[in-house]
Amino acid sequence: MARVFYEHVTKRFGDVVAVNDLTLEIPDKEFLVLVGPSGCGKSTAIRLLAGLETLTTGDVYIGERLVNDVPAKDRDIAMVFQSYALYPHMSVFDNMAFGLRMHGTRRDEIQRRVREAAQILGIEDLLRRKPAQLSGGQRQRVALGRAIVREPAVFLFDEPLSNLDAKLRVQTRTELSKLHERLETTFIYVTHDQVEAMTMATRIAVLKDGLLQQVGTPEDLYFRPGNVFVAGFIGSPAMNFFDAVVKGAADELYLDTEAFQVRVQSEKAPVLVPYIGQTVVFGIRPEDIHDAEFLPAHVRAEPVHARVDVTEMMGNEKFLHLLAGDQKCLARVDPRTRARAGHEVQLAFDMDHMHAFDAQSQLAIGAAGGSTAAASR
Amino acid sequence: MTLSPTRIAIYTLLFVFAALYLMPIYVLVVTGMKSFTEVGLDRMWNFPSGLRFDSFQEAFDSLSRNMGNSFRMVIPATIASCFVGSINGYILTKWRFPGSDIFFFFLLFGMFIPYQSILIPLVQTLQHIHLYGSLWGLVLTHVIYGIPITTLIFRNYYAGVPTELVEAAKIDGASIIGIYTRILFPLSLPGFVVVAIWQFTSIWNDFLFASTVTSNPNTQPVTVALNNLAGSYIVEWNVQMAGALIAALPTLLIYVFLGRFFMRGLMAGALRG
Repeated sequence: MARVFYEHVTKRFGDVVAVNDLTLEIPDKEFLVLVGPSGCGKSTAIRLLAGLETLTTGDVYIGERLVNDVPAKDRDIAMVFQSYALYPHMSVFDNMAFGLRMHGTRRDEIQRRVREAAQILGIEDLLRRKPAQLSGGQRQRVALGRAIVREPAVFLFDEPLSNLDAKLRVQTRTELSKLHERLETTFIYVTHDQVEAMTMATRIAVLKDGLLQQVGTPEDLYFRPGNVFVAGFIGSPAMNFFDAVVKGAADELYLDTEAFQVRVQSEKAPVLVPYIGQTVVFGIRPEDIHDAEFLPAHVRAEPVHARVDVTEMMGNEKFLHLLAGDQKCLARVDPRTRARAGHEVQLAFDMDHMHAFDAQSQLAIGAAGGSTAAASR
Repeated sequence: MTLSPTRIAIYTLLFVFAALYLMPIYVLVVTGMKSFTEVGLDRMWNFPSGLRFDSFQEAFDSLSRNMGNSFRMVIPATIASCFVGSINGYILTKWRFPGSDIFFFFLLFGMFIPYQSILIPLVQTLQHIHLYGSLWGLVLTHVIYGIPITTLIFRNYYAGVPTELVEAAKIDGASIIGIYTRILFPLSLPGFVVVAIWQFTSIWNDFLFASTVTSNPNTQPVTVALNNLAGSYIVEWNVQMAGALIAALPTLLIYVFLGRFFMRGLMAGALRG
């Protein structure tokens, strides 16, 4: 049970900076997800914490202890690997007991912990089997069990669900969330899948090219993304972006993309006033673009006209792949829509949920408090 | 199975090559069963008059002591060089240190040094450490000379073992030696099979080091003794041939019985990666 603190941590591999001046504090018992595209440094960050890599500069703390030079086995951590890394020649029981044996735990204590963990994970019947005799999902549980018996201060997960099929992944997500509640220990979880991040995390840290983009709760990141990258990364399908010029005056502001104009709500106008005459990045999520014919009651909408390129029927909604002028965008609309490929459709943009970003710095204009963001370079 | 022209051609080719390879063996066996008077270059291909094993008996009597020497030399040498190669491969793949690639390059370089060129320094070194003339000196020589190939084979094998396994063991608290004994060694069987078979056969068949290091006929391995079986003026070909067969028997049996494990071991490394 401990907090984790990365203080100005940098890791270089030759000329490549994998982790760039990362400062991040993770309170005790939090489920923090490090998320980002391939090569963003999230795996390196977690390996630095585990002690599998050495820092170039900076300090890492587990609890109050500076662990820079502490070997992995003494950091009081346990790790679940993407490929599970089970010892193939040992039984499930021995796999789980191995770490405890290495640390000199007493035999009866080992028995107790292994059986307890096996019971939590539902693998009591598998204790005699070898990993080769288990399914993927079972192996994953054994990997979890191996971590649980260590009773560490921090659990580390390196993309543990990547090797599972989609259905098992969904199921395991909820089990991991429940496990976190039950164990009341800090979880640090790495994934490239923003859905996993959104569903499981208490807080999410988004990384790109070694730099921390933003850290905050899932709601923070979804409703108040700090920069274009986070806005486009969180939420699937991704946010639509348009280059738009801010026009008009303080009380009558609007955004002019080449293809259409939309008025800005009076509450949001003040932050954009300094940008009058300049280009900004206008962002709006597909779920905030409606078919004007099936507009939900409370939405204050701005009308926009577009041509439908492709429609995808999802069951509870339809995806419309649209062309507004020569700009592509995606809308998630009511499935009753009469929009069809090749035809025009009248849309309604919910400007309550609009986002605007500075074109140079890519930072959100008028970002609300509660989260930190970095200018993506 | 269809008998297409291609298939017939392939099989013909295979038969021809098999025959070519087996011709010397045929001569060995046939000559070994002849009496001395029957032996002759002009009668090389003829069958013996009867199935006689006198020559084999005589050869065995002369060579049995040396066969024992060979075994007593090859077995420790094989076991030792397996472990040396294994540990080298382990360190080079799982505990890479600055300069480990250069180190490995130089290690491999040893493979290309001709045996002949180091004979004099070899003798001098062994004399210096008082191992010259003994089988243990020969064992040491073979273990060291085997370092490049055994390291290479194990390195390639361990490269196929996922590093995450070693990392998990590190986190679990195993030491550098502990990881070897508890995790990697138990997984190394295919590697050991390949290296053991390879080393056994190359060390058993070695003549040059054996004749250089050991001079006393009582200490010499069978390869040298076989050579000495030939007299200065006349050669008892039947006994010579019988002796050759006897000397070749252990390695032959190894391939017959363990050959498929050798192939499997080679494949095991390739597929796992």
